[in-house]
Amino acid sequence: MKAKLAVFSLLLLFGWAVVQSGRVGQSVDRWKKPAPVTSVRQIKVIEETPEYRLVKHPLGKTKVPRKPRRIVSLSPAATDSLAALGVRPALVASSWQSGEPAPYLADRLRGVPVIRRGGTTPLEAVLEAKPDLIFCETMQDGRLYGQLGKIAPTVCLTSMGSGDREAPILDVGDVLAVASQARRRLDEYRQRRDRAQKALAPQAKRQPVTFLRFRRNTCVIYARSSMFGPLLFEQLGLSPDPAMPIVMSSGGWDVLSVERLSTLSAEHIFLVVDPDSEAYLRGVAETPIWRNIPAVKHKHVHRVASKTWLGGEGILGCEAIIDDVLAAMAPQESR
Amino acid sequence: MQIKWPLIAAVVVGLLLVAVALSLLVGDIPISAATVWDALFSHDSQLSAHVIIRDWRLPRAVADVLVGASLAVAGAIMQAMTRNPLASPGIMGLNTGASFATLLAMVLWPVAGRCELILLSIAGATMGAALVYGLGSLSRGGLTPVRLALVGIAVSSVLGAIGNGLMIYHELGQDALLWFARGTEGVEWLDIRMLLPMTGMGLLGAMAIAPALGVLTLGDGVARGLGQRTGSTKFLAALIVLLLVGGAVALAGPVGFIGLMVPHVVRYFVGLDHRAVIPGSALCGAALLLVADIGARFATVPLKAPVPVGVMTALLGVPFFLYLACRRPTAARGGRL
Repeated sequence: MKAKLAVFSLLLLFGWAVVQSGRVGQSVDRWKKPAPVTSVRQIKVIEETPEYRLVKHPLGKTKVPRKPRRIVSLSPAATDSLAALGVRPALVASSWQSGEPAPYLADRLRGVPVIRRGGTTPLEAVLEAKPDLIFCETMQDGRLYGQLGKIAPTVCLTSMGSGDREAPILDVGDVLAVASQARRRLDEYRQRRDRAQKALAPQAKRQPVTFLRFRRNTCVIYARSSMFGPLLFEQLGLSPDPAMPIVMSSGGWDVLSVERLSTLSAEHIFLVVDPDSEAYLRGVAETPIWRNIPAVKHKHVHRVASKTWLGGEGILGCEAIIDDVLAAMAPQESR
Repeated sequence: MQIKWPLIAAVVVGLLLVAVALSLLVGDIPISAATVWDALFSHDSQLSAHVIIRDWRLPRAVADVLVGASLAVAGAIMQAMTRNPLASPGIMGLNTGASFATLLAMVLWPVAGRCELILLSIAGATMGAALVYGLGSLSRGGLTPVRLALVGIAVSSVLGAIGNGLMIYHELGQDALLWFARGTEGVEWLDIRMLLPMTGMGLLGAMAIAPALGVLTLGDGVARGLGQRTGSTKFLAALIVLLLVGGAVALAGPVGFIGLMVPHVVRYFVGLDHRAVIPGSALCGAALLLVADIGARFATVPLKAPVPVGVMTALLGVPFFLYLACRRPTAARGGRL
C-alpha cells in the first residue's frame, strides 16, 4: 500500500514536471523586445601624475604607466581598439578557437604573436611577453585578475557578447592617454556608419535579412539582439527575418531544423559554414526547402568570415561587417 | 494474470503503426494529413512539404524504429547473458567508447562531417567493448558477470573523463551538445542505408540465439549440463550487442533507459521465454522511442530548442516502469532472472 502511494505521488510529480516545463517555455517570452543597450563607459581616470595614471575599471583600480611600450591584450574588444588607434600590441589572445586573428585584423596584427585560448589563459605566455600593461576581460580572465596583476598593471574590460561595440575604443583611449584621438576615430566610424545607413535605406525596409551558421551538421540561427544584431537592425536600420528570435536565454543561438528553414523569408542571408558542415550544406542546398527561400532564389546568399561576424567586438569589427553588408546589398556604394 | 502474447503483439504492432503515422504528421511546421499521403504515394520532389515528409520525417521515423528496437534487444541480451537485471548496453563501454571517439575526431579532424563521425563512432564503440572484454578476461578466472560490470564501469569512467577533458580544453561544449543531443533529428536516408545491414544482422542474430539465451539465464553450470557451449554463445551475444548498440549510438547518440527498462516490461507480459522476449523487446523499444520522439517534438514547440529524446524516454518510461515494479515486484525485476 505504501509503495503504491509512493508510486502514485511520483507519477503526480512527473506530470507536474512535464506541465511546468511547458509553462517555463511560455514564460520565456523570446519575442519581446529587450531594453536597448545603453553605452556604459567602464573606465574612469581618477588621478594623473607624471609617472602614472590611476584608472578605475570593473575589477578595481590600476596604476597605468604613462607610456606603455609592451601591451598584452587578452580582450578582443581591446585588441580591436588598439588596432584602431594604431597601437601595436606585444601579444594578443584570439577570441576564436584557432590561433589566427580575424581577417580584418590580419594586416594590422601581422607579426604579433597570437595565443590560442582554450578554457584558461596561458599565464606563462603572458609572462614571457614581458608586458608593462595588460588588457583582460571579466568573463575569461576575471579569476586570473590577481595573478595577471602580479605580472604587470592590468586593466579589465567587461566581456561584450551583445554589448556596446563603440565604448571600448574610448575606454582604451582613456587608459593610454589618447582620448581625443579615440574620440576622432569613433566619430569617423560613426560617419561611415551613417553613410552606410543612407545607402542601405532603399533596400532596408523591403528586404529582410538573416544570419545563419551551419555548424556540426545543423543550421543555427542567432537572436536579433546578439553580437552583430544591434548594428544591423538598430544602427543600419535593416529589417530582420521574422524567424529570427529577438532575445534568447542561452548563448544567443537556436537550432533551425530543416523544416523551419522553409519558414525563412529573408531576401539576404549572411552565411557562415564551419569546415565540418560543408558536406551537410551541400545536401541541404539540393532540397527545394533551401531553393525556395527568397534569398536563395535571387542568389543573395553571402558567405562571410565567421571571426568577423561572430567575434568582431570593436569598431573595426563593425566596419568589416558594414563592408560585407554594403557589398551584398548596395554594391555600388561599397569601397 | 498472464495475457496471451500474440494478442499483446497485435496491440503493440498496432501502436507502432499509429506512432509511425503520427510521427509523419507532427513536426516544426504544420503539414496536413492529405499532403502527407500525397508525399508518400504521389511524390513531387519540387514541393517543400513533400520533401520534408519523404526526406526528413520518414527517415527519422525509420531511425526511431531501428534505434529503439536495437537498444531494447541489446538490453535484453545483456541482462540474460550477465544474469544481472541492471545490465544495459551502457555498461559494455559502447556508449562512452563512441562518445570518446567522436570527441577525439572533433579535435584531431575538425572537418569530419556527418558520415565520418558516424563511422568513427562505430569504431569507438568497438574499441570500448574490446577494452572492456579484454581487460575483463585478463584476470584469472576469466570473465564473470560481476567482473564485466566492474570493468565496464571503470573503462566508461576513464574514457568519459578523458572525453570531458578534451571537451573542456578544446571548448567543444557547444559542438558536443549539438552532436550528442541530436537524437534522430536530421537523420538522412544515407545514414540509414549505411547502418541498416548492421542493425538488421544484429536483430536477426538476436532472434537466432534467443533459445540459447533462455538456457543461459539458468546459469553457466546448468547451461553446460544441458549441452550448451556457453563460451561461444556468449561471444556471439556480445558480437550482436556490439552490432546493435554500435549502430544505434552512431545514428542517434546515446539514448538512455530503453535498453534497461523495455526488457523488464516485456518480461512482465510474456514471461521468461526469450523466443518471445527478444521480438517483444524489439517491438516495444521501437514503439517507445517513436512515442518519445513525437513527445520531444511537442515539447520543442513552446521551448523552440530541441529536447533530447533521452529525456523523453525517461519521462515516459519511468512512471510505467514504477507502476509495474509496484504491482508485481518479482516480475519487474525479471522474475527468477
